[in-house]
Amino acid sequence: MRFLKIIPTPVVLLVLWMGALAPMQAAQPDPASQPRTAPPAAQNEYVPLSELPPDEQLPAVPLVFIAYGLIWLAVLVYVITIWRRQSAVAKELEILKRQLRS
Amino acid sequence: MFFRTAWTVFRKDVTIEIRSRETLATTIFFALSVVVVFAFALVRDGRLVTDAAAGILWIAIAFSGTLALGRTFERERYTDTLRALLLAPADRPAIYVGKLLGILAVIFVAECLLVPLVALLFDTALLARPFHLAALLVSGTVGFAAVGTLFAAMLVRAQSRDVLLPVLLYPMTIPVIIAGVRGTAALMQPPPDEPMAIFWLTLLTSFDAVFLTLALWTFEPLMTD
Amino acid sequence: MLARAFPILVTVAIACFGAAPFLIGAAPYESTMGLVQKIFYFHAPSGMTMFAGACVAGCASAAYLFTGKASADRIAAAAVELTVLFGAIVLMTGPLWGRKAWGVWWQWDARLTSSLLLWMMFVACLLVRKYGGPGSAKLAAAVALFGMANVPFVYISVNVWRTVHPKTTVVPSLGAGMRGPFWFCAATFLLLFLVLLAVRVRLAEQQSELETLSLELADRPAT
Repeated sequence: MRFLKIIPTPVVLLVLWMGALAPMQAAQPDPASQPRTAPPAAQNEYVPLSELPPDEQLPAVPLVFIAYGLIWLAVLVYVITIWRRQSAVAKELEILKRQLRS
Repeated sequence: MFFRTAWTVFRKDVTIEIRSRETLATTIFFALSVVVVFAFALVRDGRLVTDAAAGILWIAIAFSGTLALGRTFERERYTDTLRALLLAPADRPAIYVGKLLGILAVIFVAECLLVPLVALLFDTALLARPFHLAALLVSGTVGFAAVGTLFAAMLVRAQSRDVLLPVLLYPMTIPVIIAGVRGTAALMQPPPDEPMAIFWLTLLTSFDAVFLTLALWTFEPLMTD
Repeated sequence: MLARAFPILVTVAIACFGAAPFLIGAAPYESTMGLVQKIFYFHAPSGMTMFAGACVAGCASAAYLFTGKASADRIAAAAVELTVLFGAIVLMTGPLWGRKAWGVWWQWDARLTSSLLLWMMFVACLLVRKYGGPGSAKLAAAVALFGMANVPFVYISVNVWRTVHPKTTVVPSLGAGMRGPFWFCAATFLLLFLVLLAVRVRLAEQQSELETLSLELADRPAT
């Protein structure tokens, strides 16, 4: 596999990646992937609206709140776990440094 | 030199396999069991779900392939021959290719038995386009085994290697399995959908190229301490 | 330089997060989806951050595999954790939006499936780090590298297969009222990603310092 050493392997990989993606770009859409429960077709753009129709308002609110709440919660939990690990490590470092000094 | 090394490693594995038949027998029987279990599990109105044949075939290949990978490298670890292989003055990627060919041989033998069995049990026109099916099976298995051989080799010295191999392997190779299943299902349609099958085949070949190159590139640094 | 900029970055990130809901609230409603579309302003940037994290993890893993630099390993470990975090956010908020917009919690279409797979691969990477025993850093690096190789397939999948997930042409075609909040949230999430990355890398540095010191202590002759 000497070619792997002459031509930088990342270049080879990039070429292969693009070659792999080309058939996907040129492909026909797969009819078997059509979901059976007929949800709305994929949108190409969002159309803004200035006023909300009255029947749209209530049911969505809990979903939106839960979604944002989950995001905040996830980030908060992660920050807390880092904080705890950091304080544990800092404590142990202190003990070790003291032991090494003595 | 590279191919000679790979061929030597492959011949070693095949010789051991012919003499002990351990991996081959267990892999084939496991694949058959998987097919039978799924046949019983996926029943609608008291009859087999024939549309599931493509999926069951590829699940059986994936599961038995994982088993074969685990067994092959466990044998290397137990007899400590992997270290001997790595100490040999051979191109590391050549050793990888040799092991890959060995695994492929085992899985291909299993597939030769699996495909007629699935066609028989599920009463499907699986063999309507044998060359397309063979191409799908070969490219899918190569993709699966390429990733599997790399991961199995690198996990040889890790803890929890038995459970980590499936954990790592299945998410990584699901795209290959999806392409294989969709391609096989396309071939099973009442008039076989050849353009669709060829599209999935092209995709599989692209996956193979990318994964094989990536594996060849990373095998050496992974096996070096 | 980074150490001095860090408190400023944290302050800016928190401020942006505080400001984001107001900007999102002021943005116009979308005509077919109404209020629930507002989840988009955090959902899509989380997706972008997940991809960014996957790329950082992949590149850092490749650097670690081929140069052996411990700093690359630390960045890779941090980026993998963040990819899992932002991936979890995407996978949790998406179904909440989809339940209202599509009527179903989940669809096995290309975009959703590939995002789930990417997330699972990086979770597998974390498992390898945790349970792989000594030397698992290299194994995790290989897993992350393969994970990154899947990122372009995930991104392009929406454009190739017809799916219910909004296509990638949505973002470039956003109207003026929506574009501002969206890119503000995207920048906020990116900033959050960088801040968390810095914090996590710092933790990894302290852990490796701890290891070095304990080895030093163990090597000392008994007094």
